[in-house]
Amino acid sequence: MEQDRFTTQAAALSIFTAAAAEGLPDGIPLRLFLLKGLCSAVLLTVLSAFSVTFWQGREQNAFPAVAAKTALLFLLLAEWCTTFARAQQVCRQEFGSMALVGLLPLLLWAGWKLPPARWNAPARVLWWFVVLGLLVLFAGLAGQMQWYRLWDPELQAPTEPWQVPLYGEYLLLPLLCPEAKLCRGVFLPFLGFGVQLALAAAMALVFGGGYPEQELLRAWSAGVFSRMDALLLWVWLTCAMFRMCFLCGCIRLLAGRILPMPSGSEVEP
Amino acid sequence: MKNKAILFLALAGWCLLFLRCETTEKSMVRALYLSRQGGSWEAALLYQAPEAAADASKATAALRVGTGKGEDLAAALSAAEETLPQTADYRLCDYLLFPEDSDRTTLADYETLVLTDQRGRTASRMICTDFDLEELRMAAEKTGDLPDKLLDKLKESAGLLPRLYQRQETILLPVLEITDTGFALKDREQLWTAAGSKIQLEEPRTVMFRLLSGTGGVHRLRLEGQQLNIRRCSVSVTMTRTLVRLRLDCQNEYGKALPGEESCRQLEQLCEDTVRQLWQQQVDVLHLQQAAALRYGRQGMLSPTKNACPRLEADVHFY
Repeated sequence: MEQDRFTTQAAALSIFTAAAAEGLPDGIPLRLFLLKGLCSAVLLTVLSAFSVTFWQGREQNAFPAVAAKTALLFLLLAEWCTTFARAQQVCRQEFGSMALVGLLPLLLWAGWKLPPARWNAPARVLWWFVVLGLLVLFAGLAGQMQWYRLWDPELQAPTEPWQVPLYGEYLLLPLLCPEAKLCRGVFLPFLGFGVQLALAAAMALVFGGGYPEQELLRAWSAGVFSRMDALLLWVWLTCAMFRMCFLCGCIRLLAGRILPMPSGSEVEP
Repeated sequence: MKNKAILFLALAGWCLLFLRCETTEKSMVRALYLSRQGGSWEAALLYQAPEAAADASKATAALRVGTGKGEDLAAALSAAEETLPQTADYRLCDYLLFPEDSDRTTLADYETLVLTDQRGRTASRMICTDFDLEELRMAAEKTGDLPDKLLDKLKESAGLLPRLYQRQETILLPVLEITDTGFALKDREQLWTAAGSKIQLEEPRTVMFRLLSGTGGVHRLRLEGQQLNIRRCSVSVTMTRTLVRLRLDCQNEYGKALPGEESCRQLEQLCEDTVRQLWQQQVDVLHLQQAAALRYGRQGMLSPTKNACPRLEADVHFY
């Protein structure tokens, strides 16, 4: 049974991918972002812990559980569409390519057909690429970071309401990951917050605000190499493709719990 | 089995539908010259047009200049792009040149174009020129390898050039001139203040500005009786309500004798004078405004427009 589950590493990679592409609130001071984001992460962690007890305590066929699963199914579908739209936008704008649409059937097939445990090894490998990419990114931007840009006397607290991205992975942990990993899994909202905070801090240190997030990648330069954004975007695109397959697997798992699957179509451990 | 084969073929066909073969031979724009002449714009693209793919070993490195004019900036750039042999690609466009009488609106207009059309990037390095487009074109016609020399000079001076996204901050812009042998930087440089004014800075103050603002590279400074070559300088600021103490730890260039006490005193004096003079011109080179806000909050805020320059004490050490 443990074998047909994702690891928390795979779920964490999926959240990292989504959070890295999530836009930042416009013109918000970093300190306010830190305070609000920290509160949101704590609340999401509590919500995630509640969801664990909810899934563990209820009968799986009871109405509340089925209703919650159906709602989460739509949330996952919406996340899948968002991830695809963002990845396609990057492909088209940065590489002038529609290749992702071409790969779509393959991604859908792989995500639906392969058992969840098969995605854990690629997640580990992708994490290494992510760590390497972040190190390269930091090395190319460190020289452009200036502390005084963090403080802007004209920056006021935004009047727009504070929005927190809620990913389905936060609420589906007991269905996705083995029970032994749930304790670590409930803290995944802090990963999403950490990614957003790092992005906001880098934007503030390099630009001081007012620029789109992709300019951070374009600002990268180190010695004779003046551009590395394509490589970093490739890492994110690979992670986005992983997330699309991961979400497909989640949707299949969830759909299998709501509706009985026809015989022979069960996910093999 | 037959159904599976049909499905496989359909999938393969779908994938191939989006396969696109596109040439990678593009005219790589390496630098951009912009000039506003009354109501119209002039643009020059310094580009590399390889005979093979840009990343192939057969690619030629010869640089050329394409120019264009237009009612607005986008039209001028489009006109310049039409003179290029292949489609223009701005991926490697790292430098932005403009005449020294330009103002910040030129930069703002170009930045808007970068963000909407991606013709360049906001991290491009900027430099002023004392020549106009016509002079550049004539010089390029006279000397075939002048565009190569221009790019070499820009690369050599890259560490001194501010970036486009800094356009609203106080920036020090070197001025490029055409010489008999190629290009050179002028002794006088332009300081564009955040308040919107332009100040001509003489050499010792230019070097001190660079030291205080943390610009990299070797800083050469001639004081009375001694030439100082400073490789690296770290600036520490200690603030009280009435006094600002500066400590400059300068790394002497390898193989040169350490400067004496007298040179250190002169450097301290130059540092204090530069900070004071720039403060009077509403330039906060040490970011004392931010440092005071961090230390004392909004009540203790310092501003070059509202407050007198705090008392300064500089202390210079060489190692």
